[in-house]
Amino acid sequence: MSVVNNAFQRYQAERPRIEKAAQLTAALLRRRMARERITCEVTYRAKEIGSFITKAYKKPYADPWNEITDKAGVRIIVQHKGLLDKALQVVQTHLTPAGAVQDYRDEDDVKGKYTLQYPRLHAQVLAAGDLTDGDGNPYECEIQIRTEATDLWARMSHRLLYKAGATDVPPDVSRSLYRLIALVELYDLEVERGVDVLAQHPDFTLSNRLLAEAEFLYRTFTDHEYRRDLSEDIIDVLLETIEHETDYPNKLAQFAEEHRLDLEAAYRDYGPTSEHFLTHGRYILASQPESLIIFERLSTAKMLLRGIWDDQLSETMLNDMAEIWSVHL
Amino acid sequence: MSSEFAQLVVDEAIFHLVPQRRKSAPVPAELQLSEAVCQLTDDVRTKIQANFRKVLTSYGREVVEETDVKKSTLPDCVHEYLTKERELVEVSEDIAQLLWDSQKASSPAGLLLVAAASLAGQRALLIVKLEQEGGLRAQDVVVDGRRTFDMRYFADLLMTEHNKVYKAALFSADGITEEGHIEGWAADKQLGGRMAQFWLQAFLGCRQRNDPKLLTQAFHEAAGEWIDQRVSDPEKSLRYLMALLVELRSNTPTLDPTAFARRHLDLRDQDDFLTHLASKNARTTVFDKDVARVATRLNDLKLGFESGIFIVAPVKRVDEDVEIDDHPDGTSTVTVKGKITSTRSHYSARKQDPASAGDQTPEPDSDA
Repeated sequence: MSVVNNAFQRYQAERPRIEKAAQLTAALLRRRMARERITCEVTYRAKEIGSFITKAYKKPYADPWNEITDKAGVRIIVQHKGLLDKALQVVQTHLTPAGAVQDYRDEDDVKGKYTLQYPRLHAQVLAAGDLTDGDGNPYECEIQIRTEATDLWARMSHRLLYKAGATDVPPDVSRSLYRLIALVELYDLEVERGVDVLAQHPDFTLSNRLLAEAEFLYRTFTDHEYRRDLSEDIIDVLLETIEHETDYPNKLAQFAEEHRLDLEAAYRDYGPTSEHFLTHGRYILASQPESLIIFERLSTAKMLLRGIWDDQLSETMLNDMAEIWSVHL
Repeated sequence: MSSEFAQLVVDEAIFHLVPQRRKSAPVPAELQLSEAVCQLTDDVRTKIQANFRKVLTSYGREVVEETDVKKSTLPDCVHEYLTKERELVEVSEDIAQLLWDSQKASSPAGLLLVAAASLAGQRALLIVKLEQEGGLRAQDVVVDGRRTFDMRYFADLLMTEHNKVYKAALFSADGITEEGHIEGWAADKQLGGRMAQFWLQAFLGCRQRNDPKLLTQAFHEAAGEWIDQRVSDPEKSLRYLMALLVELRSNTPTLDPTAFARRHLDLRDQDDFLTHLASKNARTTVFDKDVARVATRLNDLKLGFESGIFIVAPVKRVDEDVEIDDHPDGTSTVTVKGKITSTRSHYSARKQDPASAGDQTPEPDSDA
């Protein structure tokens, strides 16, 4: 049996465990990114069996099993370029390195040629969790870190340039696709600039910032989507209850840590995966990021919350939350 | 965590039907016992859990086993379950029998729910008497190709959103004393929140841990202290103090400090008030009111001035006859309307004027 065939058989057998290793790694990174307040999307995959075989045949690997290092993969997509280093820092802090970081972001300038190429930022790490392969070694995981714009370009180029395989891409097509990287750079810079400007704008961002803080923390409990329009209605009311609070985001983060176990139980029983929410549409706010602020307010300023809430929002929604959190209103 | 009841987790439950005792019925009613625990879906289980977290938080009173005169063997059943001597189904049947035996002819029929639970990770037993209610349900249907609603009446609903009738008790392994007695919580969401004696004594075999007289006194003192120390505006202070005295003098059998704050205090004062009560170990949720220890202090209201002047007024006349105007410099003008009928010298043992202390003739303090 050839080495490729051996590797294929083994990969087929171990792929479910590899996928689990990737999933655990993604979950860990999602929580850590949220705690560091890095806006990002974290996805994972185990390499498709077909891709594994193709790669094993295409490249002259002596030991495809060990040399194909992206069997488990996690992708972190950040909002703009300014968050790439922060995301990398989180990866390096919380996962054990299994190879050097591939950072090609400034490659052009180093060479002085100013050519346009994919700004690769990959880290090889040991996967989170304690899953091991047939030899007893922990699985490795390739972490790709990109901006949203880079991700868009990379997915396109993967389809049109890389996957073209044996077919040569005409040079003019290749060039036109590569020069889109200039737009990617421009896009990233403008997003970063916009985010910075908005962060300085108090009127526009007060409720947005509060919601963002709550969302960062909420993401450490659940990945499920929420209703943004509902959040916007609720957050304006909640803002009125914290206008005299200094350093509220820090207070909220502290609350989330102190009550983590209780919050986990509350989200499990009444949150986005609960029957109450999925089947009956009840306890709806327990599936929203602002639920954290509501729980915190119920613990420290329940009367103010209720007084302001009752003038503007449905009493049932707050009563449901008080019921979960065992607060007498 | 705002309250330990947020850590109440219901695991499984069993129901028994406890019918009404009717002396005139041709066939005597009988207890209908279940033989197995219910199949609880996750939404039902967590709904029961949420319901009783709320009931116990709002209406729960700490109770202890009555050891002087044993009125019920329920504490023994609870103890046997909490110490794993007996299992849920078996214990629940005995508990149902005890409820049936302790009910009077006037007690309505109901369901007894006994649930295996945990409280902050400790083995616990939740006991609830539920009454069935009626309600309508509307479901959209298509009849003859036209959309309409099918309305149905159900007479056997349980735990509806605004149900006013619950009797619940919770005991956890943590509450077993060194002597082997049980302690826990009991709630009665009926009779204006006052605990029915048949529930507390005849069935649960318990008594309240805290004497309502002491709870009422603690509330009176903590609330009065908060008004005196934390409310700087004299007009507001008078308004709050009046509300406190009126609340305590009212005929209501229970007192809910949270509801009191909501009804009588300015919104931004309410949380501070409740925090102060809690810091003084006064209750912030419903308790049975008994003003025996404070009754003499509920009739008159006293206004004191920096200068040593004070005014004592009967509570019932304050609204009508006393008016306070605050001035920007922090002073106030108090206007007392009425016909002066007497003037006399006054002795106060607490605030004697040093300059004239030797000249005064001691006299009973009418304010004391």
